[in-house]
Amino acid sequence: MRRLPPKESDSLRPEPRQDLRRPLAPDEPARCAAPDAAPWVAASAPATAGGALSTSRSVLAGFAARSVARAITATRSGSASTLPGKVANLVAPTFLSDRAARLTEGFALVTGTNGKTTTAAMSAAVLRAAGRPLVHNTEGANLLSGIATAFALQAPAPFALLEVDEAALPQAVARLGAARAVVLTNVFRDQLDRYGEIDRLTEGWRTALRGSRGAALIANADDPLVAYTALQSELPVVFFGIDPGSDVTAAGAHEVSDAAICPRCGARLEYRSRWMGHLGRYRCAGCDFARPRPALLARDIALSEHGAAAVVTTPSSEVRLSLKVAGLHSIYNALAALGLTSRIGVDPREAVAALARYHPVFGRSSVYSLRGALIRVSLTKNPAGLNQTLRTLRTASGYRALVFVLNDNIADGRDISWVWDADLESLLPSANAYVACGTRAQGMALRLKYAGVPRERLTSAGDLRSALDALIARGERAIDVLPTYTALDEVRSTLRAEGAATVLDDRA
Amino acid sequence: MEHDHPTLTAVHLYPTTMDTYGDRGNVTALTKRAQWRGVEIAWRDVELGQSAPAGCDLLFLGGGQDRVQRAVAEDLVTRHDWLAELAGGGTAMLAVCAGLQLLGTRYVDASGGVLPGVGLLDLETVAGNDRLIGNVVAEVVTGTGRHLLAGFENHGGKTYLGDTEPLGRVLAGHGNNGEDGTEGARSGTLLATYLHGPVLPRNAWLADHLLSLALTHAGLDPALLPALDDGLEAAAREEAIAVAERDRRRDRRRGRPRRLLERLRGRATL
Repeated sequence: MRRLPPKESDSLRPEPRQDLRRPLAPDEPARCAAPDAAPWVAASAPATAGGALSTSRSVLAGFAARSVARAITATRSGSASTLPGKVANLVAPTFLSDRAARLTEGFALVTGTNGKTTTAAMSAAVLRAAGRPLVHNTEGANLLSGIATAFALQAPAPFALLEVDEAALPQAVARLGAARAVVLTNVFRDQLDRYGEIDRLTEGWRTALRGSRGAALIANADDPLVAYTALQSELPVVFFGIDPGSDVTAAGAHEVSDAAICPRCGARLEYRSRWMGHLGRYRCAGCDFARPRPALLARDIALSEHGAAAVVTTPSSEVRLSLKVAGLHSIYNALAALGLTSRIGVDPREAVAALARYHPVFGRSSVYSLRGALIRVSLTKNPAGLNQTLRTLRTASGYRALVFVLNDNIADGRDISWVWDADLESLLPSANAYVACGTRAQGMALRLKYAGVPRERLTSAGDLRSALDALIARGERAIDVLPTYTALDEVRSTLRAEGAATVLDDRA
Repeated sequence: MEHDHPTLTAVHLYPTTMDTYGDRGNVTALTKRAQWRGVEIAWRDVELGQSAPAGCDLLFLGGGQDRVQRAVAEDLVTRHDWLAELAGGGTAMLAVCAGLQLLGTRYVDASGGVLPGVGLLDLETVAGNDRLIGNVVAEVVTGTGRHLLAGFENHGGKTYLGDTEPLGRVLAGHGNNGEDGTEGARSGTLLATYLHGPVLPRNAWLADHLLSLALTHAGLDPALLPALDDGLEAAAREEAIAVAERDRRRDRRRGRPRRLLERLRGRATL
């Protein structure tokens, strides 16, 4: 769809992550760096001198944030997931460090390119089921403003579970101090135009982990970039990983890899098998860097359209994992949640019971019904995520219509080259109709053409509403919509305006 | 022995180490656009340290992240004679982004360290303070007329041409260095550009230009390439030009010098 006229909610979320008016300098923090941010280490200690003053300012900041939230809700002018926090951080620059210092049981951070919202939501579900009250930033509001919003609006709790944007981790650690646990999910290419290269991202992580003394890492062993960063940190690490079946391994062989060479010595990485981008079983040809042995290992993996299951070996036991969310990536998210919650003291058996009841969040995969058609919406924002979504759609039986909504707004990344990195050639499911929408609808349509979509099934539409109307009118009953980040909001508001009913979405 | 289809031999240099920002889209575009005319391309992947075939009709070298640049530069220098022979013999070659930089004479990094290039193109690249990122439109003149080249650039190095022709003139965006209005470089059948990713699918004329050079090298008739229905390609390029123009207007509001995109667009072959 063409970009909607600017409205209040657009300016609130997604938050403009970077001033694009000028390119980033190589050594410049990607974004969010408050001009007055203290150096990493110094800032990790909550203010003590003038503490009374800063605390009363923090109280004022919390009050201001809640007033802003009430105003947003009262005027129905949009989502209140970031602006209140922005106000709080402005009123009291020490707002986050003051609130973090008050957490008697500390806090955990979840970061990485893909899976952080779901991993954090799964962990929160497990902790709530275990009767552990917590502060938790939801809806993917994972910059400093989103975290501050959670602290300002939610009831005080002894523990906080915070999702952090992968590029904002250094700033978050600078404000919040050392976490009890940090989950590193994975590193994939995502918005290279905005973040710069992947190496700069892991460099930021190393800085952040140096400021996290005492933290335990929960890290993906199958991702060489994550594993190397974790090993280098000298912090205790709980590695998680999977042992996939041979069909899963074969499916990942064509995908682009972000880790062709060893992060330690630069020699070629040799893979015994590779199943999702550069995730796999690897060993360096030149030095002794190799995939660490996972303490949490999922095997006997079974994937279907409606869920995923596996047997998970933990250091103390073996548990059976059964999820209502589909896809191999869901197994990874659940493993990370298991690692995190057991570190916080939840028994893995209790954790898998809670995970079995878990439903998806934030419309990243939600289902709506509209005039007799089921419309499933899955956020897709980078090649690895798109591959994974397509792989999940392929497990569905029957024909359907596929609608891609490709936007190139700042929060999506202005460079749409990434859709060429997704392995549509092998993974695109068969469908009755393929529709390209969004600010770069023509670019998406061209991608689909070269992926082999027959011309007569391929259309581009200026606007999502007319695309959906046309599909439903011609009798399509199963429609998958794959929007990028900013397109997700537009998809939801279009569906709301059309009167679609939510079938599955537990954001409430 | 009779062949059903005319076949071009092609080399993809470093497909796993130099593969970023959607470079595989360029290989897909060349393969498909040849196939749609009944011409097959036999691709041979050549990785770091692997031996390459003595000759080929077509060669592609993609972009890479800084981390792999040194390893690739070292490997590439050992292939100097082979590459020079290909370029001199009329092999159609396309180098993108880091590929462009490494085919030059040298790359000077931020600390003043020098990475030697293979020297096929007389150009050098200096690490800049700001990355040059954004949508680009350039005007390229070939034997078949004026063309518009639209795409996206993202590079930390600034490239300055010596005795090498630019591929085109920048109408919107930064180009080689953001200063002299040049985009890319060319020398005979070797073309290099900073526009990465799906530069060939979106700029179908450039894909066909390379295919026609490759057919000539193979001793085949370039007339084997009849026109295709490129409606989607044209629409995608128009869209890319429109976003570049949007960015250019935004930059102009911030005081960047006015460029002549609209005026030149009227003259170029669309």
